[in-house]
Amino acid sequence: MTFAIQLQLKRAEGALVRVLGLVGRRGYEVIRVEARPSGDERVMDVVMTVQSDRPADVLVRHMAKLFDVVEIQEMREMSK
Amino acid sequence: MNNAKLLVQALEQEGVDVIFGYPGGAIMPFYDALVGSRLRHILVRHEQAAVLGADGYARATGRVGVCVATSGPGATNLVTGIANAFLDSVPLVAITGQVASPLMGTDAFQEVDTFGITMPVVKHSFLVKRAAVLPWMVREAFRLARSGRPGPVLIDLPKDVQNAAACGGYEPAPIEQPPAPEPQAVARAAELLRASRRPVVYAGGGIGMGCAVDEFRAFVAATRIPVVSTLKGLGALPGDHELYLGMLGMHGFRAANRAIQECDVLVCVGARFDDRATGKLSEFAPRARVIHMDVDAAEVGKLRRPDVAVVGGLRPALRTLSIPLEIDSWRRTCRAFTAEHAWNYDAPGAGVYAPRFLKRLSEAADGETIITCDVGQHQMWVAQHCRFRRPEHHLSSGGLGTMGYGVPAAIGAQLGRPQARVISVTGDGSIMMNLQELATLVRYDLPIKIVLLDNRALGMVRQWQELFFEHRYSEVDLSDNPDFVRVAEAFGIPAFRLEDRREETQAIERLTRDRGPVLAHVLIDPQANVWPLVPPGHSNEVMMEGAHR
Ligand SMILES: Cc1ncc(C[n+]2csc(CCOP(=O)(O)OP(=O)(O)O)c2C)c(N)n1
Ligand SMILES: [Mg+2]
Repeated sequence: MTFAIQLQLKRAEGALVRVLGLVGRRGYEVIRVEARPSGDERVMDVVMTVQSDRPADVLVRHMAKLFDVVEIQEMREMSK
Repeated sequence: MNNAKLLVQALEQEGVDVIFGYPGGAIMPFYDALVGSRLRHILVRHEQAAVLGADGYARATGRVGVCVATSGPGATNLVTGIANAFLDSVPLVAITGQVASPLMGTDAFQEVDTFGITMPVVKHSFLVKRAAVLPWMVREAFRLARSGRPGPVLIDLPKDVQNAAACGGYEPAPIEQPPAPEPQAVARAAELLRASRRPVVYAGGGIGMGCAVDEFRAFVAATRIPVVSTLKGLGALPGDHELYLGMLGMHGFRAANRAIQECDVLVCVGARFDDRATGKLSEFAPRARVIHMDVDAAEVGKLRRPDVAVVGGLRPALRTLSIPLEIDSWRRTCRAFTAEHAWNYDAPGAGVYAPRFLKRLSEAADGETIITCDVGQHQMWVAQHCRFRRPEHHLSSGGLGTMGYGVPAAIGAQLGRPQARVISVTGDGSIMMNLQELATLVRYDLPIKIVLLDNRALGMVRQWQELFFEHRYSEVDLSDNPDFVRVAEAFGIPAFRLEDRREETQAIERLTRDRGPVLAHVLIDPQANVWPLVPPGHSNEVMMEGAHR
């Protein structure tokens, strides 16, 4: 299935690579990713679309553990 | 004061007493700052032993292990040990020198992207680009390494930053308790437990790492649920406890695997449904509803969906769940499993039967003895036949299965626990992976006892080739091993050979009484296999047995 994850990420060394690396290593594929500055210069907003037969909630919990992830805001299931 | 000095002072303030490392160009300012410091630096002979030593120190003491290496090859030599700590959730801070920041990204001498190379195997990592952030990063590194589910944290420190003037002082990181689990979840777990008729506890390494051994034992005493253990969970319950059914999984005991297959509620405490423990996942505990207790939310549902997830500190949850249950008949059933599958230690022949030798050694050793092991058949025999009173008495590379772990881990454990007797059980393959550390053992006068179980083979691989590759032996023969007694003696370690079982008693006497280091070169049957064995990809119900039982 395909789902979307929206997160706020610290603009720290390697933060985006770390998130993307985690997605792949845990058995999910990034279909689309968009990262842009947020109002706060220390943080960026990231929205990604991810595909896998593995459950979305497990990936979200893995991501939530990352030190650079400030907030995981939502998760929408887009298709089966 | 420069940042290198500040870092040394920060380590002192974190209460670090021993660090393991190896110097080189990019870390020289740090080594310069070490001169005159309270920190005791252990100069290993290969960086892998620095990180595995720090790992052994951390597991034996429950404190953060610290290792140091230079950039490039020093850092890449750490990678295996960092991964080892990552997969076994060991609190570790690894400090690496890096080329000066203006040179980074230019393929400078001894430049590799340490931060990138280690990213998949760290809990977190910091690249210190500005002097001002160093105190904060060190503090966060220590906090992260030990909080929640522990793990390794890397600090990559360019040489110019080490030399730059320090900004500000250092405040040690606070010790954090994990949040207590939601009361509703605990209440649902209690309900499930009360309704259960055949519950089993599946005890993992999280109990020891989470300092929850006392609460766990009180929980078992109150509920009187039979317990099976993972490799890392050994010692959470004393090995001779009446409710203990043994290790589960691929080389688990039949009683443990049977109880799991028949249970109606599985209480997973600080374990992670690893494939070596579960066998074929879809057939693991097929009739059970699952209560999964873990400090790490990401473990919930990763491999098996629990019926109740109790996420947070194990201690408060275990306290609340310490309730009496009516499961007498199930307990009798489990006890019957244990009796039915009791191990037969009478092996024919005059040679040393490794399971019996290890059992006798463990019985003769005092209750505070720490046993480290390497990886292979001997490692499984240690897990099966030695009894542990505490999790921190059994140091084994579980998740990564790192050959070469045993001796460096013993060095770390002995430095962390100078009063304890430390025995390292190793194999003729594994010991060669970090043989150079015998020099470290001698240099620091460490009274470690090494038991080298020599089957002239990469035994575990040989066993798989015998069983699953139709006896086609491929590159597992080690019959040209050196004379290990003379090797040990060349390093300055007394050594003796044991071949005949009639000399076992005397050997055990030496291993449990001698004050200094000693290496026992134990020749065992090259054909001996580890039983039982659940073939890969099969349910834990399929347990192969062989001779020598
Ligand atoms: C670094 C590393 N390389 C390879 C392996 C694969 N492996 C697992 S057990 C084993 C054999 C170990 O031989 P030995 O230390 O003699 O132990 P034995 O099985 O004979 O008791 C090998 C090669 C490993 N676990 N670690
Ligand atoms: Mg061997």
